[in-house]
Amino acid sequence: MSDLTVGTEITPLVVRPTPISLFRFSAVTWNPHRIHFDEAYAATEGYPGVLVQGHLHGAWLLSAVRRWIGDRGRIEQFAWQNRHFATPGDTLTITGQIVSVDGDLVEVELSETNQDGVVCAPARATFRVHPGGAFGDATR
Amino acid sequence: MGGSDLIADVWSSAQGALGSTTRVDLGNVRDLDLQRYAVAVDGSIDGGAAGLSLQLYLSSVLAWGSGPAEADLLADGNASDPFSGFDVAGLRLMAGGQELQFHRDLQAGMNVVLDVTLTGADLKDTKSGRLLVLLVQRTYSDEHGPLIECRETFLGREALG
Repeated sequence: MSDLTVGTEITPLVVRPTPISLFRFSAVTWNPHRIHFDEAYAATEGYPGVLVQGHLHGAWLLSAVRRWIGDRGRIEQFAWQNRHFATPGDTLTITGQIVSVDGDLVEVELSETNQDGVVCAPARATFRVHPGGAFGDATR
Repeated sequence: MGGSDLIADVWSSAQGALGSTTRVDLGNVRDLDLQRYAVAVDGSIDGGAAGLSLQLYLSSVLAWGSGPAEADLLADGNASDPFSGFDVAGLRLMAGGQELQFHRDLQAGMNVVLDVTLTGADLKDTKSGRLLVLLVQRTYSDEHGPLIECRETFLGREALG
């Protein structure tokens, strides 16, 4: 657990929203809001394309931090805010770093940023490290 | 009701609904639904994420059961009653974000009930017009107690003319 110190960065996660993902997310969450699948409707609200669902931003942020934690800890609290829209064709990069360590409780600040450097969704996660859990990138 | 008063009327109505809780029986969490949720989330992620977002499944679903009939949806496609107990009367709603506490892990086969409470309603003047900020508290529980607590912010604007 030597890398669990304030300032340690999580492994970035890159997300490239696709129209299929958005459609399937609307379907599985029974979300009929046209702004997520009807490009002509989205244009009437001034958007350049259909919008990534707010909950999908959250799901990607949670995926990023959980992929980094792996099975060495469990997230107890998680929060995010939707600040700026994203559309298919954007490239979103989720980064994050540890901002506090209190015993076995670790707090991570996350940010989902588009290709222009605009923050689409900031987030925060608190996880409890499993006893004896070595730490690192769970995907490697 | 004039169009320009709509958001104020909804705000006033929301004030009267603050604190009242509605219980919804969500029934059995199906493994197939969790798998489909994971596929939809992971489809845009470089390298996938193997269903790591499943703890957000319950609080991502907007309607349980069959949902409202198509004819009952608003012009933007949203349901008029997205919070199981409070009619937003045609405002354009966007999800603002969530704060969640995960007491236990969600698993297929759980029988879940949802308690929904409107906990806040604030009308704000912004550069782009009036904005109704609604706070909704949701608690998802099974027979053993709370699974997930979620505080969600919704942002409401008047429908476009």
